[in-house]
Amino acid sequence: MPKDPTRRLPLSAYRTPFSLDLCNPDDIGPDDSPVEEAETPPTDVLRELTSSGSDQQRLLVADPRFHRKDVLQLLLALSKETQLTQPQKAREFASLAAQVAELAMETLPMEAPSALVRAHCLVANAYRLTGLIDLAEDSLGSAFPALGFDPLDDRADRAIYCRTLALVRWEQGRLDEAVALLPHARSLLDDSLHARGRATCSLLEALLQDEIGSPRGVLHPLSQLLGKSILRSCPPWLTSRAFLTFAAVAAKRDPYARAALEEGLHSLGFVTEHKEQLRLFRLEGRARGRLGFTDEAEQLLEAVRREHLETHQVVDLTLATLDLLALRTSTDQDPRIEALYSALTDLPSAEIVGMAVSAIDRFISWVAGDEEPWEAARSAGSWFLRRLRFAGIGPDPIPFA
Amino acid sequence: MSAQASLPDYTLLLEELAALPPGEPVACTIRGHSRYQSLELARLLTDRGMVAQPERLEESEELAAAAIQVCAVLTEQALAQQLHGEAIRGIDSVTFRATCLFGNSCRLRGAYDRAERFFLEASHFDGLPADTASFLRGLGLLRWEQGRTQEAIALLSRARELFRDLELTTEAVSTTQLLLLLQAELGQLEAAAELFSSLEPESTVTRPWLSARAALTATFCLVPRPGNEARTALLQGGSFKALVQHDDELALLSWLESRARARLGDLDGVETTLLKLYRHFDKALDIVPAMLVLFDLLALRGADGPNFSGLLKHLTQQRQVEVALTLYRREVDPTAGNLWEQVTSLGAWFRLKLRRAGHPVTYLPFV
Repeated sequence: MPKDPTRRLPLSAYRTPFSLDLCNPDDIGPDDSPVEEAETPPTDVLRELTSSGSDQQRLLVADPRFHRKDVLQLLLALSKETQLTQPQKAREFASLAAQVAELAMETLPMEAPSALVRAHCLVANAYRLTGLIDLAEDSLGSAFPALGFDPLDDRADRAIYCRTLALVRWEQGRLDEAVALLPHARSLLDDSLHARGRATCSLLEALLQDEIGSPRGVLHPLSQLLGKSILRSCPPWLTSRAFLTFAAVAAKRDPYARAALEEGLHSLGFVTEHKEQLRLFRLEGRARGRLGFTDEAEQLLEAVRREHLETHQVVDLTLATLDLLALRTSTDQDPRIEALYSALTDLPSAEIVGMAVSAIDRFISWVAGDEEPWEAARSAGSWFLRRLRFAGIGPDPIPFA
Repeated sequence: MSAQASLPDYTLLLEELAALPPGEPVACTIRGHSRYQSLELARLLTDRGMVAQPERLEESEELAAAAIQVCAVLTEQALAQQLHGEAIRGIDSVTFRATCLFGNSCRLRGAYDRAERFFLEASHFDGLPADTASFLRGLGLLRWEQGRTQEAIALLSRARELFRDLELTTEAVSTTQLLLLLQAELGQLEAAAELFSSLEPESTVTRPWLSARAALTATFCLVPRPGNEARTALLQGGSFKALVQHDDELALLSWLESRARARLGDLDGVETTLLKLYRHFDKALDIVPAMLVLFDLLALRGADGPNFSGLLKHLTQQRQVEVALTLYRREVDPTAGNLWEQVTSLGAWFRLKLRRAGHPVTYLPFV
């Protein structure tokens, strides 16, 4: 078996000093043209608003003192910053922004409609991140009436709406609709103004296409991004997930598979959130396995599997188990299915475990029917995730904000 | 599951179900008799439902509902026997198609909330790639009717891409034509023109009403381009229009043709036709096309001065005319060079406002 010259460190070595960066810097920023300096800084104005109770807030937002572009921008920025770490707070900021924008339509005819759309999308995304998908959909229902359609209207707002909706549809298991919405979101973004926004749409699209089993859908958007500097400003977890997936999909068919693996590993180095690291290690294991680095893949996948077992993370455990089964089956090793089964069935969460067992059964049945093991693992994993989503019981939301 | 019988037997079974007395629940009959519990019958019910849909919505829904019932029973049987793979996939595929069919029927009746529920139900099943493309197209049409235009564009574009990948040329062409109509309705005339230019010639015209609408709409969009594209599209539109028999559809096509000719500068008889069309739509209480025709008449005659007041005496609904005049004067600057683009934008805004308020706008008899 060829040894990978990019030497693989043990899991314990990945407690890096790099700063956590799950957050996505605003990649489709609002208009940041200079704002006329007001007498009272927006932070002071905002403090008065946010320190009041909700009943008082409802009265305060009607006050024209708050109907300022910089106040709206600040509320939206605060919501964006807190999406992943404090989604409840993020919702509150965005809801306030929506209320101010609605009331400021005449005072701020250029800014308020755009702010309204973005605010509702931020509310929706915050709900999505906390698993409240129905409320996320309702919030988007409030956004679309504010969307323009005139070619001269802000296409970036429409892009944000479509991207946010795509993520909601993905979490609902409605993958076909999500696959339609993401490229459309990307097409609405200007190459020069929103390069990062376009890149993040492509990265998300690749992950989604992998879930629906379209290799071409993975390779096409990512091959154009490989090696591009814009990736440095995309969220590292997302870049890592996407390119480790590319490496797995491209393994035997694309000369850039190794370069994609390196790109994925480079970005992985910037992720310190432990749960996300484990997900990325699994994807790395899958990629290495498909590239022929069997020993490293086995080591990684087994380590990830054990860690998920210890912490009872059934969903991630199942996905790691499927990849391990694919690795062993494709290299004619003993898959040791019984041991893997019994580890799963001993866990609590009967409903999820039941689906996990069904997923593994599907893998076994498909491989017995001569389906390629890695493809069988991908299909079984995708089936499993979809069932969880339809039942409203997971997996963890996509950490995009 | 019952053993597969030959096709004529399924036709008889279908007729038996159709002949059930009105009070007799079809679901109970299907559950109670194993001879109805067959995937072939479910497929036949769905196919017949598709044929019935353009003209006989209620029948289409009954057939789709029966197909869904058959599939539900078959699914229970398959799960009880712990069957996987092809057995379940076949049933899921028919369920998917039948559910989408029901959803589309609800859309055609203007029952958008109900349609939404059926499309949501359908999204839980896996269909064949062609079925997925049809699902996306059907859902895209629903989104269009709801005024959720960005989603509609995304879904129709994806459906078009899938049909092209599957080399289902007729369906790809129809989907492109729908996308063209949507883009034009939104005032994105250049995008609509591009779509028309990208169309492959149709070897068989399966939906003449759609081909006619697309060609005549494209004519309007193509006018600013140099060359003969617009005139060629106009001729095409005329020949497709000749294949259409439905009166209401012919009226709509005449409107599209008239405004296209007006933009081309062929004004001979256009105003007379538009006046006749206004009276037709007005009489049929079809307020939206009536208003759109009024906007075009205003563009031809000018909103102010004696020209328009001369026109007024031909128009019966005074209130409607006043509203059209107010909107026109507010939104259209006749001194700017792009009069027809402005009128199109006005029409787009008007239709979108109505859609988002839940009012049906233009009938899209797509099956």
